[in-house]
Amino acid sequence: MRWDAQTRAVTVCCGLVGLFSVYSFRLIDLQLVKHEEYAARAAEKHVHRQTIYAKRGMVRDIHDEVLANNLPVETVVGDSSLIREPMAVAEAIANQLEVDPRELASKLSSGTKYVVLKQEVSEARAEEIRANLRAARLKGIRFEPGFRRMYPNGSLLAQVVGFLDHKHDGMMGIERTMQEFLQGTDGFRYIEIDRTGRELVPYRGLEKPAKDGCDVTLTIDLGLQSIIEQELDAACAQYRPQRAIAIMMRPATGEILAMSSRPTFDPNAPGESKPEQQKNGGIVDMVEPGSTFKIVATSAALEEKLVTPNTSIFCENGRFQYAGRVLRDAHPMGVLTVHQILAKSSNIGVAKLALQLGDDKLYGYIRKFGFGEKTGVALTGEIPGLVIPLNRWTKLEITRIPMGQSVAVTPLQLVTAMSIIANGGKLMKPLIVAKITDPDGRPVVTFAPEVIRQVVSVETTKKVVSALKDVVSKQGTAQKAAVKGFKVAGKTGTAQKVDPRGGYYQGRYVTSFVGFMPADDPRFSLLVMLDDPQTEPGEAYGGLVAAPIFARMAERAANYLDLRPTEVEPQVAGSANNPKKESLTAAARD
Amino acid sequence: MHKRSAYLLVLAVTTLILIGIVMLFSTGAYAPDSHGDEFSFLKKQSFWLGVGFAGAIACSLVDYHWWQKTCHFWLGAAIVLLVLCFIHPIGMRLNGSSRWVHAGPLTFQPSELAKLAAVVFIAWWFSKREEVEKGFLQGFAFPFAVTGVILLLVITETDLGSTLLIGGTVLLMMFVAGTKLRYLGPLVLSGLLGLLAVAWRISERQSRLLAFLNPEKYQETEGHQQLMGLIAFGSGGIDGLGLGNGRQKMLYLPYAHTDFIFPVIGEELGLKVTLLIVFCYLLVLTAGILISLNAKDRFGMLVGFGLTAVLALQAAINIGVTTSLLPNKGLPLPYISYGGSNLFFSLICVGILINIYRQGKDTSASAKTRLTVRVRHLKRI
Repeated sequence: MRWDAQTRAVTVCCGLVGLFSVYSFRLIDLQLVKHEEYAARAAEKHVHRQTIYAKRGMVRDIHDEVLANNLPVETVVGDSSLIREPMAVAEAIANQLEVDPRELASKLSSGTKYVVLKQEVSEARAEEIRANLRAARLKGIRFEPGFRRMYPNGSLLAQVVGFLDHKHDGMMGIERTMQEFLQGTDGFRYIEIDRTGRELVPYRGLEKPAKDGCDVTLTIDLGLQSIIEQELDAACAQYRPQRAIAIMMRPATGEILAMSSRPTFDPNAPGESKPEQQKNGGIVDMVEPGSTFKIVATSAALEEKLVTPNTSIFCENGRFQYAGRVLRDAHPMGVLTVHQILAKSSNIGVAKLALQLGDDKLYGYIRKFGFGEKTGVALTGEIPGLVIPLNRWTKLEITRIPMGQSVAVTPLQLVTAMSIIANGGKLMKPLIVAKITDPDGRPVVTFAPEVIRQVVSVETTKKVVSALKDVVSKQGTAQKAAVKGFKVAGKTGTAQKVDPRGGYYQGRYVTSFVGFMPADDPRFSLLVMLDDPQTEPGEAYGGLVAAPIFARMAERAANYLDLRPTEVEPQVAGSANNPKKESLTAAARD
Repeated sequence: MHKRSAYLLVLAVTTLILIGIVMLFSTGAYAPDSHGDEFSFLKKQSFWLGVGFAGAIACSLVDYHWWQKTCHFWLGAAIVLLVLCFIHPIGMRLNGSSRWVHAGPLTFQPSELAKLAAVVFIAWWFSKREEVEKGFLQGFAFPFAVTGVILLLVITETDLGSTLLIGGTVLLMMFVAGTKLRYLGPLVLSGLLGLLAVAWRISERQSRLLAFLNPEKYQETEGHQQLMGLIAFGSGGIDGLGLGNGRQKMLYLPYAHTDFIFPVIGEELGLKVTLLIVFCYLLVLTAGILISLNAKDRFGMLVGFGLTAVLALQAAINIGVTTSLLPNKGLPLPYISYGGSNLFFSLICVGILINIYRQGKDTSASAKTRLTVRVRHLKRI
């Protein structure tokens, strides 16, 4: 074969054929051999796992009034790798986001693919921004759906309902204790996106729907709650106490109907409040209860049949020397019946009842009434209070503790203990959650009333109730707690404020009233406690400060609950307010 | 074999054009400069297809020796237009390169014309006298110097792909024409080195050169395009994801409708169609070579070979780039990529080849030469 032009052309042709053969092998290698590998790489580029956020459950009161729900919002996210003119984009959206455009522009030129520009932008606002961006043909801004927790009632019931942290987990109150039920389970879907981050809807892949959170229904009645809170606010305006607490409970079931404390906060903006505003005073603070605690020793002595209501006790004319210390009554009294000891709140009388009981029994009854341990209510931060263990009792405890000194309780324990008397001697577990229902409204958990124990007999409670009715009478310490048309039973308390550095503050008191109504068929028990009310000197007594607040709350609650009046004549008709008498008989003092 | 060569050529080219049009439906809407009109590319491409088709028919009818006679004109026109690329109102700068001239709504790449001019010039040069290829000056230095002007202009407009293509074609033609290997060898070497040097100096090319060696490493920058191309090929598999289902074209893969159309075809239509395309180019190559081998004179043989080489080399470079076997050079895939000038030129090539075929030595084929418009009889073969 001659080496002519034709041969050379064929040679070149063969060379090119060889090159194309190499390409064929390359293509086979890429598309057949390495297909799986590259398909995975492609999926990595295009396929994204998108979280479908579960809707957090709602919190409602017993009548389905909404206490906490969700407002759909969007998070505005920038992908600066797609943005060529950060300033133009920033100016297009800065107005709606209410952010400085220069700050936005610097975020958008950072080069990262995910910059959160603003959270919790309302859906309407987000739609405006999208329209602006479309009009200006700008890209690189994405919107991620989310929700914002809303508390439509503001500070009402704030400490019970609680609030969420930035990760949407419950921080406090029901939001925290019911977190597992409320949060639900986030779902996901696999989506494909183009390089600008838009979803390619025809290629939507595997999807697992979110399981929305369960709804929580509280035992709280928002109507009663607002009555309680309005009156607390009024009382705070009048007395400017350090703290004010009110708890209303249904004695027969232990359901908490209303619960509030002051100071309070707005759960829609928890960051703007201090921790002491956020805490639920009814369960996280312990106080010395004062005379309200006398129901324990009195009930115990009656239950143990050591005395009857008519047994006479000599009250030492107001000065009782025991174990080398002198115990005084505010108003010296001679011989009183057991009934009168409670009605007139004699320190010496109740100490003598306790002495008859002895240390062991007294301690046993205190614990049986539920003091010294958590009630187990489904709220955060509950403390057990403080009951000195029996082995550390000195001779003095038996005269101090019965009148509510040297013992620390939570307000919730106190109202629960009073509910025992109202409820025929049964200690009920305090309930705050009535039921949990799934998003379709089917019940998941229902909380039935739970009897913890029979503390005292029905007969004993009848005797005690009779005495507590007399508390709210001319002869008693709290005639101002009387409610027109109803019999009220209750007990005042005025405890000297404990100085954390030891001892007691002079002239500063924790005043309280805890009672129930109607006395013979109690529909609610109610505690009102004001810590360090600012009053005229000598007027800071439970009967003067807390009792009238109790009366106002109870009267409005009776109206709200549509209770039928049982008393034709007003209980204390014509009885002039007599602060002097109140002050004479008021409570635990050393 | 030669009898069928023109039919094979037309069949292969038609197949490639059809694939190109179908793919343009799929990719056009996603191209960033489509301005929302998903058919804007299709309209433009159809226009150029029509013009190119008419041009091809005309070329198949006009005696190819007309090119021999007018080769000086084409050479001059190519050089003038290439210079015009740098002059502002006519020339157009895009993506850092001055490759376009525009007149009214039409834009045109003079480098396409330069390919044709170079091929025709070299063929004319080596067929004008006996044994012109034997000497150094006549057989090597002079023709190379003339095409060197074109190459210089093309390389300064930073179109390395076209420089490589034209230079490669000229060298292959000189080799076939008979220029001594001792002249060509050093030229090929120095040419490659020079290209490498230029590429190295222009930092953009430098990083592209490195990127092709390791697209993974440079995936955020220069290697991105080629890596995206590989992913497109690979994820397509044998059958592809289905027409229109390609994901990479959706702004992941830049120039998906022009230079990087091949990976999108691989992704959407799979290995079957990519191999079919490679086979079509093989057909174009072999048919073109067969036609040139049977050309009735030396000029026809050299023109036929040159045009075939341009088409085959261009396809080879594009496929090499998109499969990451070659450094990234911007060259369209003939007949398939979107782009008017290239489609038009590639169709003209087919037309000229068909005319060479019709005047071929084979008697049965030459019977058809009756229809050929003889512009003028040439004295010498």
